[in-house]
Amino acid sequence: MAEGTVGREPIAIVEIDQTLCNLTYGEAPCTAALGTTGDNKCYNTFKSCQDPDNFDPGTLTLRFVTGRQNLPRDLGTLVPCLRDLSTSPGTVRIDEGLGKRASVDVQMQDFPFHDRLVDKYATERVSGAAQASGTGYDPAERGTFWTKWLQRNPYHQGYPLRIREGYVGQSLSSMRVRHYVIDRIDGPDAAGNVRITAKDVLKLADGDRSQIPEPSEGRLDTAITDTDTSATLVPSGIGDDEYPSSGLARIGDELVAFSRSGDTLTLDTRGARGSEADSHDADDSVQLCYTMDDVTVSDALYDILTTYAPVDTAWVPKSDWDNEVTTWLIGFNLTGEITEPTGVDEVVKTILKQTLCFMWWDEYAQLIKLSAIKPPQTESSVTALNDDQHFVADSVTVKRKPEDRRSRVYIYYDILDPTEDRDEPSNYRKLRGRIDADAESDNEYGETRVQSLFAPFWTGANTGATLSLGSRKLARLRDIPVYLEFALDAKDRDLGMADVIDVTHRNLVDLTGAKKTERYQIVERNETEPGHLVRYKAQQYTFLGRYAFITENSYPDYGSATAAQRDGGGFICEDDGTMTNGDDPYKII
Amino acid sequence: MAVVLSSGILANGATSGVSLKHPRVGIEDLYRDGTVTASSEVTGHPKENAVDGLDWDWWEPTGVPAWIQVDAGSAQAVTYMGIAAHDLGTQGCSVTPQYSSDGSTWSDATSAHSPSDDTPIMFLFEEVSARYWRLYISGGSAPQLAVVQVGKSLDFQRALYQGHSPLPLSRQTDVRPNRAEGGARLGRSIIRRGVATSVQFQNLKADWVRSELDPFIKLARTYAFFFAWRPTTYPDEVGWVWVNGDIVPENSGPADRMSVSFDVQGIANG
Repeated sequence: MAEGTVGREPIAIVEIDQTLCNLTYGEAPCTAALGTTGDNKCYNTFKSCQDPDNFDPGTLTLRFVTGRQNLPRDLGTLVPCLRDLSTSPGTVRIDEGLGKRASVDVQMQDFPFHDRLVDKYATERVSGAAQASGTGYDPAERGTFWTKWLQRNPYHQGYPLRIREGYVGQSLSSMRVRHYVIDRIDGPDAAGNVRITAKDVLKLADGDRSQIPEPSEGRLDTAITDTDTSATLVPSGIGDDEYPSSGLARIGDELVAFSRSGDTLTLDTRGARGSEADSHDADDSVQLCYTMDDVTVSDALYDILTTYAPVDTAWVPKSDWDNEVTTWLIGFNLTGEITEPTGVDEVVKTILKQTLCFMWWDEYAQLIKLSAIKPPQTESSVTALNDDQHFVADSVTVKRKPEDRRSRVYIYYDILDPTEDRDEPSNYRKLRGRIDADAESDNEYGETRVQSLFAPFWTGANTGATLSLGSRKLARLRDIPVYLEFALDAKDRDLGMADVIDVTHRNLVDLTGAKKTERYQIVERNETEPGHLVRYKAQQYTFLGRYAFITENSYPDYGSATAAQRDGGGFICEDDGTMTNGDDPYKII
Repeated sequence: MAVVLSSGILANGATSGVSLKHPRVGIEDLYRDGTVTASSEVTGHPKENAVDGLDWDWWEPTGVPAWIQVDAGSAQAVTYMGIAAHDLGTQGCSVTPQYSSDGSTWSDATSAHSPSDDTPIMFLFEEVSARYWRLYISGGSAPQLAVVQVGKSLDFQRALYQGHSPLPLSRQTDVRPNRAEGGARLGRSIIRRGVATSVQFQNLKADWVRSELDPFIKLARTYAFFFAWRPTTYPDEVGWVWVNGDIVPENSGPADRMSVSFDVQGIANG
């Protein structure tokens, strides 16, 4: 049974990985002893552990499903207490860089439970062997599954939670998997409902969890004047603990370049990077700064996310990021300072906005994806959708957002003083603007719509990049952005975030009223009925026409080239602006 | 065949004076309160899973022959054994309900049965009183078994006629179709399936309701039960079902007569 099977039976499995000790109570190296370290044997969780020094964490995977007659046994024990599963989709915000985080809301029904699935000593609880008193009891008559589980697993925040979406008859490995981490568990309420909220991993970059640079603990031992060239850090030993041998630090509103030995700073440059030298009082904080010096976008984002947020390096496809940068973001390297603790998400968003990139959590691939705003790599990578074979009846809606239209874009770059406001135009040395006069003319929109972009991590060396940024931004926004919402059957659910689609629908017509094909990019995906129905939101795509890389030297002329050769590489058109067979010409970006 | 009748019961055509065309309910369960032992068990699938009244966890022996036994503490009158949520048919096993007075010498309550599928099975036999009862499994490969019950069945005074939809014919299937904008059939999903039906009896004797039906009603608030609506005529039509509310008999018709109706849902060969 699979997506294309008529009469398929979708099954959604919620998996939670809880930590469970691999040891057995009282068996070496576990030194726990009934009647000595506790009155009852532990539950192999850290909360109940009686020998924490020897706790040996392993993983127990619990699987929950909605009850049905034909629960598949080959998938292991499936607990049928799942009541509802709803997802709040992650979104790609192409012009904002960092979209909305995806989340999943799982509702379970609590129930009396015999504990055999989660308690290694469940049988001994009944016989009394797990109690120092020797008196047995029936775990099914004490508490409920979730009340007991929450008591034994209070450190569940951050536990992996997966949604497997497949069909009866499929193996677990054949199912599609969405990955999240548990954010909170509420309940049980009076009706026995338990609600689990899990988020995508980019939640870990939120400002209330991760900051860059991390707050520094060091302070000035004594006051310094605006010309002093040395200072001493307190408390004692903080220098070796928190500060590198040389770097950039912020004291008040001044940046200083320093070299360090123990707790003694040599202030090599006062009033560094455009800041103003000043006197400072004893006990003033000495905040270490984060600096970037001509680093690629991918290197900067990788360092920020994996060093300053608890993002696992396995979630970052760094080589893919590097390929994206070397193909589309040449000249977009970053230089600058972050002089005070700032939310990692805010810094990432700033970088993405100024470099025409967007980032999202691919919940299926379990990867943080990074993409430049660009044409499709090849025409064959574009998926065609139409109302005869794809769109579910009555699901297609066209929406327009005139408030997002822009006729001119101003880019402020080469920051004057990184300790001052990064969103203040007067804090920048340089400005470049792009204006679409046609769009502002009376025959078109007849008004000026301005977008100001601040690029605090670009210097004068990035002027070329600012021109590219302005042109591409204006190309995307000079006309009213159009969004398409639609639903697809599960047979077409491979369509993923940021994929490019060619849409043919009766509501999209040309001047004569005939159906026409328009190009869109997926910005939101939500499998509202797992294994059955997927809802999408797509944004009109602005890179229309044929874009291509320079054709390999070995390729023949266009007329003799294969479809694959024509798809990936560009050929020079005829004088009349068409290819030799009348095809559209290629474009250069 | 899902209802397995002993040769003795077949010869009589009745138990307790009640025709085998009348419904049989199996809800009493010695496994529930007795001491349960089993021939073997795979780690993670202990014998307790077969007697906890849940159909989503199961007992799995390490091999066959296998048995799961209960010591009731004293001799108990028994007329049925039920099995549900198993894969005995898939594994090619034969099953036999057995009883013993000493736990070592066993007698068959019915002949061995080799199920052709994995639907619920209800063994019915003439009343036997014994302390030890077991389900004996032989042949094929090690099975998985989530529900086994043994006890005295409730034999209804009246038969079911018009208005009752037999369980296997009372499918409850939640279907979701997807149609394209252009009208094409894009896909079709079965979201869940099961069986559900309603049961209604008229003209039950009031004293029978109080002495026989009421104990069942009290147990049904908690436990699922086997239900064979017409054992001899439709032996394939057995379900393991439960009710989701109280069963409330009411006075009806002539004096000292009562009627009762209730809805059940569960698993059958639907």
